Amino acid sequence: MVCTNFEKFGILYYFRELSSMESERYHRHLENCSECKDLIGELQFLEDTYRSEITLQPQAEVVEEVLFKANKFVENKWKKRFGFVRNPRTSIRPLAFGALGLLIVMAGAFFWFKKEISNRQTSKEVLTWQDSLDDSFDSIQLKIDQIKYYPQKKLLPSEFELASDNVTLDNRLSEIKFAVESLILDLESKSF
Amino acid sequence: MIESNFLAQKTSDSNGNSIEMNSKGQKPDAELFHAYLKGDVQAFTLLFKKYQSPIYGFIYQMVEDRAVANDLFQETFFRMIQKGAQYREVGSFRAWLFKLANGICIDFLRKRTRERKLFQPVQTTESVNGRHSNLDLESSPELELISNEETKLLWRALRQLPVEQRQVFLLRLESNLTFKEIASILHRPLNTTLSQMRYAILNLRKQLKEEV
Repeated sequence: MVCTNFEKFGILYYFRELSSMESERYHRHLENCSECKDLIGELQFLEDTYRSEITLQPQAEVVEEVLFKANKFVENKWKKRFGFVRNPRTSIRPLAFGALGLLIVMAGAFFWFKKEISNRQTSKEVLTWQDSLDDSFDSIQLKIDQIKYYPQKKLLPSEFELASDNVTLDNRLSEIKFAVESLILDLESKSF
Repeated sequence: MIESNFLAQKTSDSNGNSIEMNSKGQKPDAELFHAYLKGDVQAFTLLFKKYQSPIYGFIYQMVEDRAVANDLFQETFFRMIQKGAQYREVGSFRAWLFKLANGICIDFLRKRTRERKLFQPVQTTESVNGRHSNLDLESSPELELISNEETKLLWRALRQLPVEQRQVFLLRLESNLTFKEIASILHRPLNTTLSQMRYAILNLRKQLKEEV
């Protein structure tokens, strides 16, 4: 019959896995328990015998193989991540795809930028043309007004101008006709 | 023939070394292993040198065949490398490595038992629980190299132990893991593990007395 304390505490005591309090308690038990003392001695004998003579070692080739593969594994791991930079076999495809992707992105960006600039220029031109068109309309309106109010002898600044310049009505009408025609030509030439 | 490097004279570097190394301010195992995974091969060499002997000793005593032990030893380290990413610093690195070695050994022993049952049902040398006949043990060439008769007897007795008891005994002596860690590796309660250790001691004592 084996003392039950050996299984619970004795083995842990021998391998120094008990807390200091438990260890002390078992140490006191050990002084009075010859069974536990014997088993602890037995355990000591087994450990000493097991460790006494030799250490088992793997074959030298096995050791070399493991170290070689460990080295290879790390190399391959880094090659997988960054191999395309230096490995000529794997470099073509990712590099080609990368370059193509970059080209597409750059072309897209270029066309978008160009279109944006062109849009801005067009809107600026439209505004300028609108201004000149307004001027043309004003000028035509002025000329029509001069013709309209001249016979009624109303005081208009243009009436004075008209009188002093000795511009005949026919001349004025032909001027209006010319202004309207140029305006039409101008309108036809613009295409936005 | 057995090469000279197989059996080297025992010095104090089997179990106490790791504690000594850490107290000397060397990097802990987990840190070395992470360094290796980041590409430092030197770190692996340090780890390997530290563990090659206890891991091989454990595997050899479990499978009792040198060629198989070499294969399983290799496999343990390959698996350690491959499963490196899965390693979490929850337990000690030592416990994790021995868990791998133990798993590989158990897989092999199961396979061998199955095969022997299938192909050599009458001449089997290993029963389901892993005990061996004396015939098989006498043919072991490694035993012949041991000069100490007591060690020889202990090795023989170890081979007669059921696998569960041998596992606990070897894990405690080779790996220097605590019983709590061993219980965790083997997925057994601590009390069961301690009980198996007690049975191992009693069985070894009985065997040795019988032999003497």
